[in-house]
Amino acid sequence: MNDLPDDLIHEFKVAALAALAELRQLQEAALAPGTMSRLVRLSHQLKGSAGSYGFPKISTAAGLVEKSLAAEVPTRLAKLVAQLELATKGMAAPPALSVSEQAPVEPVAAAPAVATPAGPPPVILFGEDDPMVVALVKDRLEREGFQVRHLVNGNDILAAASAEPIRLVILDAKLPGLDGFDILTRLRKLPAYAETPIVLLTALTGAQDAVRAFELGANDYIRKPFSPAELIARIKNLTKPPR
Amino acid sequence: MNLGLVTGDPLLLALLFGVVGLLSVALALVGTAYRLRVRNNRTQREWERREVLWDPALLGVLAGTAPDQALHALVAAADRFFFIDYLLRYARRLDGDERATIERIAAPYLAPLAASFTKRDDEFRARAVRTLGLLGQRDYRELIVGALDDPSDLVAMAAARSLTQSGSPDLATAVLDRLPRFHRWRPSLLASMLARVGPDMAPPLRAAFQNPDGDPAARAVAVEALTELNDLEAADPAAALLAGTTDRNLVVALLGLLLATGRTEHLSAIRPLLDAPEAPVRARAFAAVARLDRAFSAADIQRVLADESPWVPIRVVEALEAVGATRLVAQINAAHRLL
Repeated sequence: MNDLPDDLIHEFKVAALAALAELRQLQEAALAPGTMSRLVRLSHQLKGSAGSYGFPKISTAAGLVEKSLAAEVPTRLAKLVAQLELATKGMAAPPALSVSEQAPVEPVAAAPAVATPAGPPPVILFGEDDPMVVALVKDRLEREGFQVRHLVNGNDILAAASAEPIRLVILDAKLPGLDGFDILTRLRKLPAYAETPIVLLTALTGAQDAVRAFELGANDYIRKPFSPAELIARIKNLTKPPR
Repeated sequence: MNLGLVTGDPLLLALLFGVVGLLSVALALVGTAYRLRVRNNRTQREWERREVLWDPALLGVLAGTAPDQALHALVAAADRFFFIDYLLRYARRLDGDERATIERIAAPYLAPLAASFTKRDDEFRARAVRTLGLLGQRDYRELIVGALDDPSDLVAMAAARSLTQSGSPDLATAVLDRLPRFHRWRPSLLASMLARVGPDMAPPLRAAFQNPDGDPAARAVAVEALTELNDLEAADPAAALLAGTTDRNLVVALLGLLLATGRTEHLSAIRPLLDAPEAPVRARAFAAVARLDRAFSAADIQRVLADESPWVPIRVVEALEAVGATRLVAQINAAHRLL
């Protein structure tokens, strides 16, 4: 199973069952482009979070749903969603946690400065809509031992930021929904993100954009085209424990 | 409504045949569009499948954990042009060592592209120049410089962009020498391309605009590029050149340079142009004088506002606002309200 605290497992179960219910409902509806993109996001999130929370079967089943959607094979979708339901069968809706079991009032605790050898790897929240940049950055970060939560939509990024402790945030300036500057502004208003390093990775090359980012509280501003090695060096510098 | 048509009427038959014919054509077009769509989707999926295969190997090479051969082994001979295109998309996103790694991975695939350069159409050649410029600038610079003289404007412009993006003044000078070739392109675009090379480009640009035998339009582009670079050293020769220059575009460009980089000692060269017959020249001259002359007076303001061209006061106010001369702008606005 997994060694995560009960409150986090509880939170995942609630989110997973809600996502599954929505998946089931959406796949019965006509597969309009908007529905498709929502389905892809849901299955992608479910795949990632199930893997992280120690539910490999659910993660695999959600991955198959995502793959089927990407290949535009809606006929297989119903079958795959049924498999996903089967994988979650043993995971009945969890009872509400008792007051003593509940997480602290603050929904997101600040992440530890570095992961302890026994603890989970530090999580980096990555908002980016260019698949090639995602592949480059995600691969390097995972090689360095970080866990990456990648999302495209600004609202989803804000939701993910409140769902678990995040060690560092990387944001593209131009994102669908809220842009990188809006997300940065909103994150800095959350007490849990007062000190969390936030890096903007953007194709905006003007000095005024960099100034704006720093004024809003960014810790670094990296222009595209970029060197992943340099990005990693900067991220390691921002995530290393204070001397 | 009775049109007077009866069964067997030749006109009715012709109408029927016409309608059936049009419907057949429409159906054929819909069928063709559908077939093309299906084919494009299949090709797209095929490409995506290959990229899924190449991605892990490429990321391994970029991270330094896999040799180039691990990726090369996955590329079939028939896929080599598509593979170059795939690398090109990564190259545009990368800088530093990783960009150099992409160029190294691409090197074995560029020779066939260069070899087929002369045999193909304009669009292929332009694309090949862009690709070689991004992935093999060092090995194929002669081919790219040669493409500046290509009969196709598209190919020549692709070569010009590639050479100016290299950041090398030596390569960009090849573009500068051929500026008349690009007379159909906007001068400001050409100037920006040259200025993007950076301050190292200033000496050849200065030499180009001072060359009395040079094409006036090309000299004006060189001056505009120096203006973008804020090249202070160009101000003295620009002022010296003003008196003997008759080409309007070159004069306007020189005044623009002096507006950006001039000093009070250049006013004596600029002032005679306040009476020039061409409005663009007067507008730039007034703007330069307003910016450089601390003694710009109420009489001068009246003269600006009395000019027959509305562009003269507009350019003057723009120039003054650019340097933060708010009091003078307020005086002009106040005088304008009294008119």
